[in-house]
Amino acid sequence: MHARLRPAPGVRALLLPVPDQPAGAWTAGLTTTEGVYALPFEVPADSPALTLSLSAPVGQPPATVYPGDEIAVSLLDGAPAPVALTVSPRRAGPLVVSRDGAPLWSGEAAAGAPVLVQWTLQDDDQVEVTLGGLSTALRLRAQPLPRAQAQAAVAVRALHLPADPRGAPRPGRSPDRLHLPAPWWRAALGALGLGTAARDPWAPFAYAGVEVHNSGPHDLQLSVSLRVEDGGGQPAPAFRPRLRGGEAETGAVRALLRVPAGGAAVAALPIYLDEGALPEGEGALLQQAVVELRALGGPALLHSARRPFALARGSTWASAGLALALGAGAAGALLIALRLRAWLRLPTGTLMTIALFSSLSLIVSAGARLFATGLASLLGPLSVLVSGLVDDVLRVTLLATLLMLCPRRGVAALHALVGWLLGGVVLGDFSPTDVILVGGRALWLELGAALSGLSAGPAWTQGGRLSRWLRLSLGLGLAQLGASAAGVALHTTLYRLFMADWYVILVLAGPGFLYVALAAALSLPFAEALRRVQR
Amino acid sequence: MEISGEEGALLRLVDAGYRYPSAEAPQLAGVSLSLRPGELVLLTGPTGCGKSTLLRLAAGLLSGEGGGQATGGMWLGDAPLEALGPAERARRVAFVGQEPHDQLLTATVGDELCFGPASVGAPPAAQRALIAPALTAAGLPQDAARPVVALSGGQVQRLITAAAAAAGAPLLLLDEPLAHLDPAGARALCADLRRRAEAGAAVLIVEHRLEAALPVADRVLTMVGGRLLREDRGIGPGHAVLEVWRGLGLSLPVELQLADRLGLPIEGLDAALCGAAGLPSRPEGGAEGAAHRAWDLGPQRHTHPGGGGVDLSGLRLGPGARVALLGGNGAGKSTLIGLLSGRLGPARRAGPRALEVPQDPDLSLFCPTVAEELAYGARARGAPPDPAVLAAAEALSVTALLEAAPHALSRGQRLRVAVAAALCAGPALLLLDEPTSGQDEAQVEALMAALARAAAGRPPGDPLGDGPLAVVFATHDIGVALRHADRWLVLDRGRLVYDGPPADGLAALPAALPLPPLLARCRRLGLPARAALALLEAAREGGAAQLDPLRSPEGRLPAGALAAETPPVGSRGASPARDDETDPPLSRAGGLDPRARVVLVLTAGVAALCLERPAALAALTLACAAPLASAPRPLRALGQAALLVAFLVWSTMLSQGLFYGDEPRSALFVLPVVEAPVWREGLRWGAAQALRFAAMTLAGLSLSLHTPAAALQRGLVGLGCPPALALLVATALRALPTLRDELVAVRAAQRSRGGRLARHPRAALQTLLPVVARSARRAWTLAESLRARGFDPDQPRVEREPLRLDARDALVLAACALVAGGLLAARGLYLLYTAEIWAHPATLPLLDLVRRWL
Repeated sequence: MHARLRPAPGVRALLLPVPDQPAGAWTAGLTTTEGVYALPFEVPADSPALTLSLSAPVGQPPATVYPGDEIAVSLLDGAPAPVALTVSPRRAGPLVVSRDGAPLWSGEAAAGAPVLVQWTLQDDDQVEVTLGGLSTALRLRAQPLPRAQAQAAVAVRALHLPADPRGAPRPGRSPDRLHLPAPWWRAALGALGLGTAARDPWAPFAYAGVEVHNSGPHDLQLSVSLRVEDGGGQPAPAFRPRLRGGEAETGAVRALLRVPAGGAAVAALPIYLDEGALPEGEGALLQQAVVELRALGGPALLHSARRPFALARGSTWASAGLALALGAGAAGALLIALRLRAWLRLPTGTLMTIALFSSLSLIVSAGARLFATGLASLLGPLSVLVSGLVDDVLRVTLLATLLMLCPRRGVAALHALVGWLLGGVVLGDFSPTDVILVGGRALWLELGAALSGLSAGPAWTQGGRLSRWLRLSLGLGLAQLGASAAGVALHTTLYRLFMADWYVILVLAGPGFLYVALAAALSLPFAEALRRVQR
Repeated sequence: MEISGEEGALLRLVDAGYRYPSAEAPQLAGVSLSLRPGELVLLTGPTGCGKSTLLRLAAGLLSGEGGGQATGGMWLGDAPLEALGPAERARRVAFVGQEPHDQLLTATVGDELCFGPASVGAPPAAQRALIAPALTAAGLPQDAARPVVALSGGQVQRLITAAAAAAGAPLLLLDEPLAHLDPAGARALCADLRRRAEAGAAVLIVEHRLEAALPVADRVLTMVGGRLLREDRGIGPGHAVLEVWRGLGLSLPVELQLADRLGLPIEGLDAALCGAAGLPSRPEGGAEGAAHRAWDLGPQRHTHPGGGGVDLSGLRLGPGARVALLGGNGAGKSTLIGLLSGRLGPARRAGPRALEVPQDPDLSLFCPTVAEELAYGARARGAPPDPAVLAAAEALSVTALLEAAPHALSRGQRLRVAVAAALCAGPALLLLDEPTSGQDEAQVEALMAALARAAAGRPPGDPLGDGPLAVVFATHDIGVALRHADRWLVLDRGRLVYDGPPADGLAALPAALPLPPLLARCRRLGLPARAALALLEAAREGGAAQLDPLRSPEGRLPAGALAAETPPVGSRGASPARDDETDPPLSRAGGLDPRARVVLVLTAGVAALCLERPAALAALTLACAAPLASAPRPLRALGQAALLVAFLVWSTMLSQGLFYGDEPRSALFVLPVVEAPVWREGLRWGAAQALRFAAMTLAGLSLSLHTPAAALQRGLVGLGCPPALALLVATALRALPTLRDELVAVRAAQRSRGGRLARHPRAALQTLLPVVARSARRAWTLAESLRARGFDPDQPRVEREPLRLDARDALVLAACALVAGGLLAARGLYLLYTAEIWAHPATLPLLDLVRRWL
């Protein structure tokens, strides 16, 4: 026997049926474009004369049945359902398949040649298969199932999006969010020979795992469909399935699922993505995944579920932000490595002042952090706008005061470095990502202080109040903005967070800059009161 | 002025001068002097004449730091000062500044002594060998592991002196070392310095409290306007320099001044006192508000957790009283003041409104200007601020300082501002704890006179409140108590042993309480204190008719006059340290190497980053909390840890579950309602985040609780951190408890003057202001102490006890490396897999493991 199959894209394994053979040793020859393969196999001597597999109803994956089996088949509202029986004889001979005594099929069966028999099941059927003198019987029991009962029994317990091809939640992925990496990223992976996701547009982009639960007393054979709708409730053009099992009009994909009575089953449904059909622009697209459950063989809708999800497209801004954050972090780490020894030769009084100010900053920020955590339970992500008024303002005031007392290069960076080490040994705030975060912070602080003249010497501290406020606001504001943006970029990448653009702007504008200006204003009289501190 | 004895001089200055960067005129000019081994030289002069500048210049502390300009020639021994590096300079000169506690660089006595030698590269064996003799010489207990916070003020001063000289410097320069010591402590320190001089050192003390320093000095230099005016030796009654000092406003030793005025030798004062015993003295007992009812303050009882306290069955105070609280170290004076102010014990419901000016008034100055400081209390009681401000400023002579920043003032001015601010709050009872500490005589007299005026009475409608003001002040200075109080309360071990007029209280004073020399004479002669008062009055105001009999050598001595008592070498103590404030000694017994401890915390951080499952993070949190079980108060520590974790988990779960809902957008700032939908994944994520933060925090707290700052410093250095950076971290770490206590003290001061505390950023800044000011001062003092002891950021220190890894440490380090490396590798592989970058089939089982368990 020969079989020719064209494998689907991304398919790693093919299941090739091998015809039943009499007992003995056999060799199957597999011819591919890569070469010829010989696959030996054995047929035991005590193999049964024939093998029966039943699809009840049709569409259900065939299940092997054995002599004497009683198979229950649910009929929704008692409607007849087609069933199919496949008989695979191992030896030639006259074959008769009968139902309730009436022959359905009869003829001469060839060894290894399967015979398919179909009929419509309306009530209980006794099926008998005879091959030569050997007879095998099984019973199909029709179970009428009222639609209301079926609807009450079935429910979508969980919808995992994204899921793996088995329908389980995809590890390491944020739920309800699909990521389409930026084109440059995909090109880079391709150029480097990396990348594990199928980028063949004919292959599924992702999967959705639908977990269906059946609380009724009967097994249910269901058709599970999934379609993606856009914000207007219309099938999203970019998510229309291509060819395989898709319905052109509704844009849905289907899978057949048998859910045992009192149990659950998971269907894995592919999601296709046509990038060319995506609307222009960047950012996230909100879509709706619509799951519908129908009884197999009928149009009646038993259950439906909706789940909003977002398709996050790689953002140029996000990529640039990440690159800037990483670059700034690396540059800052290099700056520290190159300049640390020189900074540690600052006047001893300056070093001691940095140490004590770092200590104060730790006390202030530790308390503020606890306050912010509690506030977050009330205000959620917007709590940072309130807690920043305490935390950021106090910290920046201390830093501004330090710079007014010790306006030299390296003071701000050293303050950040000592603060980090102190936070690490007291609060355990050490992390491998600190190299980037602390380095970046040191760089932004020194850059901001240098550009605004804060670290160029004491001359600016003698200027007018407005000019001092402007320098502090701009210098420290720039630093805070850079550090905040880097932090946002890193955290969204590390923790796969999703933040709306307006939220990012709000956080950068508020705690990132305006609060610094407020802190600078508050720090001026504060620092003036301290500038001539007497011993 | 001739320079005596240049040969073999340890310090030689020739025409030295110095100008500060922002000054128009030099602070010092044309100073020439030399010091030889075996000499103890006293340098005195009025405030601001350049004494401290001269000392710092000679110690090499002004070069390279302040940017000023030094002129002239300076030699330490045979080497020019500017040619010496930090280590060599530390071997030649030791410098001790004014604030002893702020000069402590370490946590234990042994470490403090060895800091200098370690900085100059002394071998570990030599460092260990110097400890015992140094402690003996300084009169300190032989306990190198003793925490420095457990030492009294006098002990700290002696320790600092010993530590400064530990690098072997034969030249000691001390700047007002007696400023914060009681008379006994001052005498003890002077005796110590005398011993050092006799052992071959050269000692130069800057001091204007001459009482204790003059007797031990070989010669005295007087400085005025940045120049050395004169040099004197053998100063006694009738010496010409006494008149010069009077003209400069210096406070002369009482006996010397008295003897000089009477034209007697010092020894003749016994007879003069006997003669003065019959003279009338000023009326005693000021009006304790006879027209006002006395306040019955009831029993005053308080017991400190570590023992000690106060137990008074009752106390009555009258409005207008000026009461001195006296007693030895630990008698309960500060505790009683705390009870009367309400700081300690249950809140007082009845009685006058009391306000305390703490021993360190800096922590009660939290406004940007003096005027605002004074107005704070007035506003709080609803009084118009301006009249109150002017009245208080006039009373305390700070009118000219109203627009100044409080922390830009001198110490004496700050104290007056603090008292004025307290007066503006309108108390009926003003409590002062050691108001004379660190003040010169003129400042003390000015302050006490101002208080006397305030206590005399406030007429109705007075901006500072109605009625007389009662003043209670705790002091060690018997002379001040004698001159400025009309009632003494003498405490001994928490009990009241005397309550009455000052003059009769002398006999009631505990024997351990040090007396000024004149009063000590009175007690030795069995005379009442009024004899000393009368003699002083007569010497100050009396004519020849009064003084001649006193000058007569036939003045009667009472029969059986006691032999001269040697006052016990006691010293005023700092408040006993709380147990949880002392650093554990740097001991390896039963402990991991500090490097291993730090690496453990780093590993916890790596693990927290790599783990995502709440169960795994919870296990990590438990592991990080486990060391708290061996903390000083384990139940309390574990309880606080549990509360922290519970709070973090609850609030983070709530914020993640409610506000990051099904909608993938952020937003939703509505308050949670009962039926609000909850995002389960958010709950899980929030729990993970909270546990991550909790694990890291507990790891850090465990490290800092169990590891002294000195050990952490060495651990960081051992892990590759630059020594100077590690020193900064250790300094910051040691400052944490002090800063925390200072913040609490400031809030207490705000509360006592203002009632309700404001809760906004400006109020928070007000709380920070005095703490930051103290920190700035402390930083300068620390810096001087560091440089004086040879600190060089480019030179590695030689530690007294070098760190050594034992088998357990090596095992821990290896395990940490394995765990951290493994977690990072696994996480990295998992990240590559989930990001669809790369996955090797061979790693799939590992990835599955990561997914299931981590």
